[in-house]
Amino acid sequence: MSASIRFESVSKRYHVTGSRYRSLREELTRAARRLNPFARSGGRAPRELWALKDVSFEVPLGQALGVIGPNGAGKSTLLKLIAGITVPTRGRIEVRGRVASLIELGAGIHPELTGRENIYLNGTLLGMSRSEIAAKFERIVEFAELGPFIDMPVKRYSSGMFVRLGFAVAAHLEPDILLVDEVLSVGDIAFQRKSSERMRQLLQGGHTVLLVSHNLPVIQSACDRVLLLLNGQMAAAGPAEEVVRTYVSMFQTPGAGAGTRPVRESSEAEPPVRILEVTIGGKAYTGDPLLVSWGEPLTVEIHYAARYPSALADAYLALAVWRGDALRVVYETTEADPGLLAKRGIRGTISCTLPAYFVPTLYSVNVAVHDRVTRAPYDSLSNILFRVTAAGGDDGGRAWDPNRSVLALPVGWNADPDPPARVSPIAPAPRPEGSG
Amino acid sequence: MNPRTPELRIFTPDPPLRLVASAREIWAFRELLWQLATREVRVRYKQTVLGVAWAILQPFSMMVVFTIFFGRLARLPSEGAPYPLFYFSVLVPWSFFSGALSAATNSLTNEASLLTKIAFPRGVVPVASLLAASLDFAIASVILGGMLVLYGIAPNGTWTLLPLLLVVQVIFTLGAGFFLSALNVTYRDVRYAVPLLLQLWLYATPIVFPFSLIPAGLRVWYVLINPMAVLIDGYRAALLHGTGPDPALLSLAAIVAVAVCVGAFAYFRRAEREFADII
Repeated sequence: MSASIRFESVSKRYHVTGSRYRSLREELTRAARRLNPFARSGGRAPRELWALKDVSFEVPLGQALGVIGPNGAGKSTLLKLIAGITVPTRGRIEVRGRVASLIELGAGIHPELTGRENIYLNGTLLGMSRSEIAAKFERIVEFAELGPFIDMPVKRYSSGMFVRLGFAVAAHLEPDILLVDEVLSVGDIAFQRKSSERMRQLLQGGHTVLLVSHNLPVIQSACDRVLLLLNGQMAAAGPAEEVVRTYVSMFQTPGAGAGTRPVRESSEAEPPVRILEVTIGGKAYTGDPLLVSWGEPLTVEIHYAARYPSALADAYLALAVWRGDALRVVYETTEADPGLLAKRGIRGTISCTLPAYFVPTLYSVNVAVHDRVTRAPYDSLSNILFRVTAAGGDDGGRAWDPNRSVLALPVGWNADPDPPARVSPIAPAPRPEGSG
Repeated sequence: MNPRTPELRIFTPDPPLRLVASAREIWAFRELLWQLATREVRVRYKQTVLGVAWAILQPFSMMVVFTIFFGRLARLPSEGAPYPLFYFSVLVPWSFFSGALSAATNSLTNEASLLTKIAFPRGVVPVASLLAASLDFAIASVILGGMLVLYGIAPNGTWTLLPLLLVVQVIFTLGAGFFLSALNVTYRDVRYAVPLLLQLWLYATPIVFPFSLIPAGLRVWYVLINPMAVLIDGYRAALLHGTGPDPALLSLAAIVAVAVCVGAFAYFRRAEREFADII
């Protein structure tokens, strides 16, 4: 099967000058300086910025590739190159088929024109024909929930309507390749749901998809493979889970190198209190996520040592559990129990047990020891990964989804055998057949 | 699943110019061309009191001023034609040229947000601004037609030349528009230079004076530098005198126009790669 998108050693350089465009006067003085053998060479040389450096990858037809990385890593440039908005400085890009980009919604929407006029204008800009737009017009208007406003100038629209209009047009393209930037965080909740639904349809329609997002669970669920960009370079590429894990480990300690090694940060070379090691359920972390079954007690043991005994009286421990995409799920400290650390002398182990009622996915433990007065951390150890697995390999049909919730509590659903005597004024809903 | 074979596009740092293919691409986006042009027209006269009257106000007021000062007071030769007609017959096509060219010059920079966000053939933008300007031209032409009737001038055979003159003018305008719009992306000086250029160009073209004032020996050079000269003379000669422009000079102007258009489009193609980066 042929590739839909192929990058061969693609680099993109931008010139960063004081002003964005050159002026003729500047150009003339530069030319004059070149002619003058005594002039200082160089002058005000524009700084170069390599937005992408030597990036190579392929997206086969019908596959979804996720692109992750911190801001400024080159993700947007990558999309712009595929869309053909800008050309590479080096290398070669092949793109097969019609590209629709949900990158910059609403580009080309003119405030003076009506919604109707803008749908036609925006549609043709995105490469639809007039007849194609006419055929989809009703659906677009309905999708955008514009109804009676359709013949009103867009400048009278609310920002929500404006955004819906832009998304509705772009979402009704029938592309071979779909480029998606984080645009789904727009609009109200109801519209967000509708737009993610539309996205899912497009994803399942066998299109080639390139998805740029900070929402790692979305990336993991939607994408087959993931590309991690750091400073314009490919830091990792491969199966979604693997790359996201690599990224997650970098996520929490910016500047840390690749790999899933625990990361230590100390206030000084010999902090008053040090965290020696953190184990989970007695097992040391070696770089692979430790497995924890859902609902089982998750015991985090923190081994610490103090330089002098009084240091412990002035310290407290903090434990945080983060989900992969930098969402803090748990934060607990020993602040309420000042004597706890000092109980066992200069070295000790404190363990914290909590039930692993988390939606099965990847989590990370961060542990820190803080100064009780300044609250500044003496020492911290982060990136201890663990994975919550559904008990016995399945979740009992509950279909937990990290996209929907963080916690997976042991809830009970019951069908009451006898309805209460006094029912609420709401008409009784049809009762399901007895379930257990 | 999808019966059509998706088209393969290749992006490299130094793509081939492929002038014919990219001109075809602009044609393939003619619906966008139309959309952009109608948008410009719709937006242009919104919230104006005079509305579309502005389309003829420029050539008309210039005609009045020229008639009073160059005609009645300075008594410049008009080859026997009434002064208002002598001026208006050429101010209408000239306004089309100058209006289209200034609109085209700013067209790309005005659409900066489109260029940085959506991929489409960039050539569409200046062409659309020319298309939008042609509406003003059409309206002014109707007024000109009315004036011809008023002065009792009947159509004659040489009027068939008018479309040809117009085609040459459009090709030339398009060329100049491609060049100046692309240049304006890199050097914003262009937007200030163009109004000055057009003002000087007006007086360097036989508008206030007849073409016959140019010595015969210099005409080839004159037309080579300013192909608009023979076109303007052609409009006036055909409309007012039933004669045409010198065929040799018109051919020369046509060649210059085509050469300018092709050369400018090549420059445009080379420059357009950087539009999104520097605009």
